[in-house]
Amino acid sequence: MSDPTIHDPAFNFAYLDEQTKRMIRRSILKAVAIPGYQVPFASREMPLPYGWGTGGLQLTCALIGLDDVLKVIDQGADDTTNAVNIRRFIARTTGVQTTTQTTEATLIQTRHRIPETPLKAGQILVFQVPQPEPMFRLEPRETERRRMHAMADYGLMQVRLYEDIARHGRVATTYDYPVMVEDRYLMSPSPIPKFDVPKLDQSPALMLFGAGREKRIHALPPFTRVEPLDFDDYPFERQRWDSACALCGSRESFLDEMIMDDAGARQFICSDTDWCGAQ
Amino acid sequence: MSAAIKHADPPVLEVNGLGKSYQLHLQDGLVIEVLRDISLRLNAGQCMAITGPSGAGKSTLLRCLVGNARADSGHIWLSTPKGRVDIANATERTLLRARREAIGWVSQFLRAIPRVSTIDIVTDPLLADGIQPEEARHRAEVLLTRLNLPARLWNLPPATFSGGEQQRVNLARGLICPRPLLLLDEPTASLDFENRDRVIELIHAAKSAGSAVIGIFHDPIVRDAVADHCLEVKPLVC
Amino acid sequence: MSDLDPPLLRATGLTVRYGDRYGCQDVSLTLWPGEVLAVVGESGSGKTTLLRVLAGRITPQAGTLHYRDAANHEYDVFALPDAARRRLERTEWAFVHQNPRDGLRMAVSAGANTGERLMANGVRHWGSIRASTRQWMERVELETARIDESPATFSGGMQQRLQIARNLISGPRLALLDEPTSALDVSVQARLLDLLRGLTRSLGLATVIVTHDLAVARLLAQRMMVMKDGKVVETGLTDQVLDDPHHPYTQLLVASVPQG
Repeated sequence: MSDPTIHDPAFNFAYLDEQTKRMIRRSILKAVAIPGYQVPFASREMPLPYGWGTGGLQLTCALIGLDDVLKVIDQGADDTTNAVNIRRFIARTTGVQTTTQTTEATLIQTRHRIPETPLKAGQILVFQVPQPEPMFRLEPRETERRRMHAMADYGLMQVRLYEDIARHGRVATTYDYPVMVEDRYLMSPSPIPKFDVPKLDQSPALMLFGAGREKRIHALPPFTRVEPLDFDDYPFERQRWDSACALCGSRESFLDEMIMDDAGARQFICSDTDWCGAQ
Repeated sequence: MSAAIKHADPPVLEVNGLGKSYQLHLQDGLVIEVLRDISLRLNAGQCMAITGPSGAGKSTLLRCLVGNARADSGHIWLSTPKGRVDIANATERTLLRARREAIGWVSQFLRAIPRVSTIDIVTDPLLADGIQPEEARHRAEVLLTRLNLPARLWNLPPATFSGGEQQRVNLARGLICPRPLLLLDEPTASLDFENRDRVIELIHAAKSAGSAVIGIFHDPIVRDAVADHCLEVKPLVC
Repeated sequence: MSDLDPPLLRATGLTVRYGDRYGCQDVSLTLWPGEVLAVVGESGSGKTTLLRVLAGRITPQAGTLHYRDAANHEYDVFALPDAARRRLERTEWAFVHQNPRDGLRMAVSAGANTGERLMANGVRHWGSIRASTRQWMERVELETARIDESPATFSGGMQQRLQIARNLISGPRLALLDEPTSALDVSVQARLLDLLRGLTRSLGLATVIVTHDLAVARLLAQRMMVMKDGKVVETGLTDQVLDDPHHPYTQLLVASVPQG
């Protein structure tokens, strides 16, 4: 855990004004009440361009309190530029304690990964979402997409998976894999790898998804049923690697492939830096 | 319904006061009265020949009996397996059913449906009656052989056949299933003598099976061989 | 088929107005299972409007439409909630557009187009979906080797046949066909018509086919309705209307067809 920073008095606590925080919390409540459903919200301008996590950031800022402990990761790592900047920004505007250890965090903002360490009740995971609509590419008409969600008419997504199997012999989607929430809404879990999808199902943590540019929030309350779409004869399968992590030896985590030198030597290393360090 | 028709006491066909006119709107609404007050009765197993000069309305009468030409007045009572139907005033569904179950129709010209083979055309009424496809095919082949239609033509659609060959396909389809009423419009017009005689045999067989037959026979030999009665249709326009 | 069978579709007094104009006016019809009804007329006759109303896609200003489903429940089509109507649209109803591109997804393969209804209706076994789509492609005389190709690579006639397969795979009871052959070359039309004829008969499909071509009506339909300026001017059995036309407009239509 780091030393607490002093909250910069030039900013309101957590940067957003109180009315905005209320608005966002109301949207969060609605999203939690309807798991998997995309709730529109009045996304604010943040000191980050669109595409850099403004949605996730707004969620975090609306929820964070002085007794929270914040962790920020980007593709599993605490130390990328993006993660560092967001963590520093929040620390500066709140004075809240930050950490790199998943077990110590109460509020975790993440880009495109779920931590390997299993989450506990009371933890909140905030996802940064570029495109919340799972059928965005399949059906260009928004009116039609809304009708499909309203009537749970999701044959089109099943068609997309069918096409993958016809073309590649298996479902080719490796990230942002479409899931059904409580058998009712089709949801995009954000661009997390396929590997992480099973962690969504029946998680004790609260999962919130924020898309700043698209102005949508969706949520998975604790212990929600989340099932990846598949076919009976082509069931969902997690990714697997032949090797273990070169640093910690783990065979259970998501591994990034690193090119080590110009000769093309490769190493596989855990994407979750906290997990890797703790092994 | 594939067994022979039972001889019924009431006539198979009873026509009262049948009238039919055509109003030609494309000719300033000119009205041509073709049939006036036609009446007839026909029992099972009997054959009636419709006679009269060309253009007098013989075909129109026949077409009224099958419901193709819509009568303006009168009644055409037909005994069908499900009861008596007035062809002149039946609902569309009733008329369709009556045609399917009670009327065999051999027209002068074959309207060939593209891509449907001769054998399929002929087996169609049998299949509609619920006969099994193999049995239906066998019966169709027997009849086509009897009409001297060579086997090499059976799997071909009749559109490219000669007039006589098409006529025989028509006959086969109309005669393959015994029906209470059989209507024949110039059934031997395109046939040679040998086939004409075959047709006479087939009409006799239909009568024995209980069909009431009404036909227009241009050939007096055929008419004399099969008809028990004649009805003359006189032209109404001078 | 007994006369006591209840009808599949009952329409009374259907009227669609566009301002002062009538799309269709006071149209009534009844359709029983297995029947084919042709609605014939020229452009502007209202036949396509009528078909769209029968499909539940246009709400009329007046009139009622009742559909009897496979479970023998009769519904007022315009009182159905959206979800129920969409379910019927992908199970018991078929709608074939004049232009096959309007009825297909050009961005997915032929197999996906054909199998979509199955997937939308909850079939989750890829192998059996694949097998059914192959069967249906064969049935409409498409090469199954092209199952993974996009319909954009198909000819018009093939696209139309694909549209038919896509609609029929769910075993519908009611088919609405909007000039299914008009966009096709004449030589291709005969093949498609014959296919339709065979399918409507073997599947016992109640069918309403809109066409301006009397030969199509004669080939496919037992019953016929002639429309002009939004109104029905004559009805009857197809052969009755074509061989013994009563209404002046019908006589004009029939006389305009070159005999051959």
